[in-house]
Amino acid sequence: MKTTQVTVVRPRGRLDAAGAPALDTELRQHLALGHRHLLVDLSETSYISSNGLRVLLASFKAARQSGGTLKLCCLSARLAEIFEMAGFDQVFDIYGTRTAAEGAFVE
Amino acid sequence: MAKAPSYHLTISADLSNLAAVADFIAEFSRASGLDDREAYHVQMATDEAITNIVQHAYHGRPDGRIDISCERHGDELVIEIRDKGKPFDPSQISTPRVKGPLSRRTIGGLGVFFMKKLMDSVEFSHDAKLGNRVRMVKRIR
Repeated sequence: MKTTQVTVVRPRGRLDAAGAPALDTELRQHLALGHRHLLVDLSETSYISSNGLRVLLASFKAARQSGGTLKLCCLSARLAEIFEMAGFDQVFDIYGTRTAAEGAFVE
Repeated sequence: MAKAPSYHLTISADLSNLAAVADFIAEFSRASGLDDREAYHVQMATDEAITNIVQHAYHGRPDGRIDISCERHGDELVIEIRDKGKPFDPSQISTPRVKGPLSRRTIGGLGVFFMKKLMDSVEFSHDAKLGNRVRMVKRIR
């Protein structure tokens, strides 16, 4: 079993309609550079709206299409509740800690 | 009896104002005795409503005006948001598919979905003179 090169992205603050486009750009740039295995660490994210969720879903689909994946970690209780409401907890692999998430990327 | 808190905020239709709206709602929620979780729900519902107005009613035109008022009536918090952008027809909003495999998910209408899920009631109305109005109620438990 070989570990995979994981790219970690840690958005800070609010992933609302004003903040989500910067994350979208960052994730797309990584995918364009061939970084197919993405971990979005949400420990510094205080808020996410539907715009932020759409960005994560779009990059998740793009990563899968290129043979990679996108996982999430470190959601606050507030964020976890929002992911659950939208059924996103069923789509994404979500981990409590960054170490657990990084360990889950294996080929 | 103490006067029920009533808060008003007018902003231009610019997404950079969303953080200020969140602070405004946080202050109103605290003054009304909501716990952190309920306050978060009211903040998010309001954020989604304003985002819809900026992106759809005003189509990104930042000179549009949005009026937000918050009042407490007994055990109900009432948030009313008005704009003079394009008339909003909620029947045109699709319901997102939030269950099932990724390939079958649809996420159009997620903003309105959250507003309804997070608040106890959400009503949209349009008046030729007054413009669009969304009225959202959260009951304090």
